[in-house]
Amino acid sequence: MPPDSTVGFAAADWVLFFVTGLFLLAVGWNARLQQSFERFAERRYRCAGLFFVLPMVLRLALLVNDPQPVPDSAQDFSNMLMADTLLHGRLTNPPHALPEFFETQRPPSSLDMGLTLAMGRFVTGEPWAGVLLASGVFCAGCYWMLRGWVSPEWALLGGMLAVMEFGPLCRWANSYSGGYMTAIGGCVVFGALPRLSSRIRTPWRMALWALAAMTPLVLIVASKNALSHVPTLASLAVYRFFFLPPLYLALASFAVSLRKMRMRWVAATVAACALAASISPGYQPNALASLTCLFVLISVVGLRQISRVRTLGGEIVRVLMVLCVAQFLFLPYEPAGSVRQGNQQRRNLVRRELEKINGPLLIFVRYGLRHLKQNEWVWNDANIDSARVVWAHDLGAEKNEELMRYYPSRKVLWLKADEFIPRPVPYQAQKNLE
Amino acid sequence: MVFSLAIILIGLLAVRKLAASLALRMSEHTGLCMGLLFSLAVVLRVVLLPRHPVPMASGADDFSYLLLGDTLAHFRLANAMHPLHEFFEAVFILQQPKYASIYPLGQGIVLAFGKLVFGSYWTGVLLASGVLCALCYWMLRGWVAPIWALAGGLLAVMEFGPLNPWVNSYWGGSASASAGCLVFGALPRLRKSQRIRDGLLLGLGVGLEILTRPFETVFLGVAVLAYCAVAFRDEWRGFVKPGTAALCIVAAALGLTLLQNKAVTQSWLTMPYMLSRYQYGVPATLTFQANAVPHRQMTAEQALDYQAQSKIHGPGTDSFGMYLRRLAYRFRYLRFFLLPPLYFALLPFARSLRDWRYVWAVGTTVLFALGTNFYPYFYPQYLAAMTCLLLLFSVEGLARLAEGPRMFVWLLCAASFVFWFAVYLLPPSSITTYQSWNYINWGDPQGRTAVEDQLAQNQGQQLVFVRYSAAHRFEEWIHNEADIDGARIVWANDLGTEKNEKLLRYYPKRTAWLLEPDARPPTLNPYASETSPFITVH
Repeated sequence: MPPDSTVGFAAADWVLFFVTGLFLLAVGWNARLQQSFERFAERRYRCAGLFFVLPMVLRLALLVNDPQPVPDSAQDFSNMLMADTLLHGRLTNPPHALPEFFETQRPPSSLDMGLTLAMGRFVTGEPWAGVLLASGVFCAGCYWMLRGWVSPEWALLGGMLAVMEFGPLCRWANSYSGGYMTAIGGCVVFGALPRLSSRIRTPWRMALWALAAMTPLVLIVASKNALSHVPTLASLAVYRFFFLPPLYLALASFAVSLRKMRMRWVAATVAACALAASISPGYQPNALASLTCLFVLISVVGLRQISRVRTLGGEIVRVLMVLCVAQFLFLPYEPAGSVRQGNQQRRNLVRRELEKINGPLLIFVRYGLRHLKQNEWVWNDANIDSARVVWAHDLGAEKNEELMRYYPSRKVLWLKADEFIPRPVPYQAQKNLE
Repeated sequence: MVFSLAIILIGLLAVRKLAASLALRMSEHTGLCMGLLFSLAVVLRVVLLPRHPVPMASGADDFSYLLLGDTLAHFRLANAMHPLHEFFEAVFILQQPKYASIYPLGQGIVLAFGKLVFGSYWTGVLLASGVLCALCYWMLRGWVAPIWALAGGLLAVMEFGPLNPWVNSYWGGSASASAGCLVFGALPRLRKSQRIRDGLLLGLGVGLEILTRPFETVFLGVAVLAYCAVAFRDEWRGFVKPGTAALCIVAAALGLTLLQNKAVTQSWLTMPYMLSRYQYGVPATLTFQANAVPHRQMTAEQALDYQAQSKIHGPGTDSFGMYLRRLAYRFRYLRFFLLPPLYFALLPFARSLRDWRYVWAVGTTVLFALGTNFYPYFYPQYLAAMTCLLLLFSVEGLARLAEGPRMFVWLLCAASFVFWFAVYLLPPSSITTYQSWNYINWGDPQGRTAVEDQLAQNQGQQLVFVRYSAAHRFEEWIHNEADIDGARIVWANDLGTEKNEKLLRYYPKRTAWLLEPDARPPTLNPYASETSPFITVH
């Protein structure tokens, strides 16, 4: 039977069809367009401005089908709390009178992400605006960093890769867990190094590079069992976050560039930092965020190396770039797509239900037997008592009475968070049922 | 997928120049190219055999075609009616006046050839796919430059070769498509030099179409007459000899059809499917005809099929609006004949329409699409004869593209084929769910393999009573050989204890089984008696 589409295309057919279309567009890339590209690449402010605006505009364009994310992980909640705390002009909050209802296992929040979210909320009223802004700053910063390492046109290409990899579809742009601020830090450091080194004398220059590479090595040595983390490095899945699949080929060709001292330094820094990051128990892409711009640099240098292959080089780069664009265009529809991740739909459903109810609310959350600890629902503002919605653990009827007495004027609801479609129900009605 | 595509594309880019110069040199050698394309289609499917073995027949159509093949392999056109034929009632199979398939001979000849020469029906199907790919090249040689004909032949391997449903079932499609190749390849050659050989090939094409898809032959005939009327209007005398040769072959095919009619239905002019429609109400009538009414008792399975086909047909006759809606829906079947990148070649093909031959080719395709739209349901094999014309449009469009786009369209077609071929060559992957139009990953959803394996483990002759449940869906299990009594396994409808006793007495030496195909998985147990009603439809 044909697939249920008007033209009989299955998913793979659509991919192939659009990839063909992209190739036909790429074939139209002639010497004239190349010259325009090179001229544009020379204008650093325009390019930086483009890469600042592009990821934000693209993500905003997706809002119709993919609204702004809702906090979904423990790290998200922790960062949101930090932002709220900062907005109250504090670094910490006093303990609550009944803290047992609000206990959660949360990773420590990061001040940088707290500041980002606080700024977004302060300026626009939406914390996510800070994330969006950070995505633009990072892409522009990545371009700026690359300008210190490669020629303007390759930096421009790298900026485009940064938008495709770390722009509107990236997990960092669609959560509150952070990543951008560290990555921006990386851009500043790795962009400043070549610029600094070109202005100082040789012995000092070598010392500077050595110092830059030393920090992660010190971390490794400080850890007693650093070598036991080496297998973690082999977890290539983490690196998929930093490379679109077609760029794996560029990664391979980067090896040829290792004849140059600077590239050897890049490789050594990446290896050392990756090893240092693997010391932390939860080895997530965020742990390598500061290296993001180096990964883009590696991709760009790899592509540049491929382009130098006689007769075929240019065509291969064109093929890889077209496939990167195809990957970028189809990424939201991948099973592991980052835009439509996690519990967003379930949380939005509950949020909409709660918006229909007037007045302050108290919601007791009950988890099922197979509850995943990552799937946290209890999270509150910095000032719990004055929040419109207070989320609390269901500690049993007797204990719950205590909190209900503490909040006498709140409407009390009950939520079975692990239901496939969670719906808040009046607490009393549920209690009577049980 | 994108990473694999990148690897494949770069690999193809690397060998592009070498392959192009090799192809340029080869393309002039008709025999060599035909041999290569034939072998490629066959060998590539054979390479897949360890992962995707010979397809298992799994539906009423498959069973009916296999019966036809078996009947022909016994050098008969029909089999004698079985004395207890009510046990063997099955969809698309006639029991009276003769035990035979309802289908025309073409695909049966393909299957019988495979059985007689290689001992396997499917070998016939496989070889037919090779022949089709080779004939596509031959047909295109009459229309385009040799290098483009070779490109078209390779596209045929990619589209209609090892991964195509026509190769992975017994319904066929390759035979009718080959007929189209012969006709559309012979016509331009006849126009160029009126040789008797080309007339014979034209006749062979039309004859093969008569034997495979009689209804569509009407459109093919109209198209051939239209071509001849334009091409030979000034020099019709030159066409007399080859035309006569063609008519002789067509007459032979018609004669064979009449013989089959007589052997199966006892009437020269009643085709087997017409008798089936009278007796069982299936296949459904064309949409401008009233729904068929069955005239005999039917099994539950036959009744289900009749109801399903009647429902698709609809209670009344066609309206213009319904006809158009159906036509629009069937536009999706174009994908069966064109890989997605080739859609981009169709635009530049439009420039070829300044040549009347291409206008005629497009007109013929439209005529087929409009004509087959009178079927209440649709399968790509109805348009099989158009296969080579759609390939022609693709390669003609490709030839008109600039070199860069042409290269990428071509490379992406090749990369897509290599990718999917590799997917099927490697251990099973869930990525196959993203592919359409393939039956190679059809699997065995009805659990037939386990039943066949269980029966194969038992020595001696077997008798299997098939008992459908009340919740049975249309999935035929009754399938018997042309010589039922001589078959190792006899599949029979469970007609209840009393009636079944009659068959058990008829086959005293057979081990009896009861198969319940609607259980999940289907269960096969030693036979124990119970009753099961017949369903009567008036």
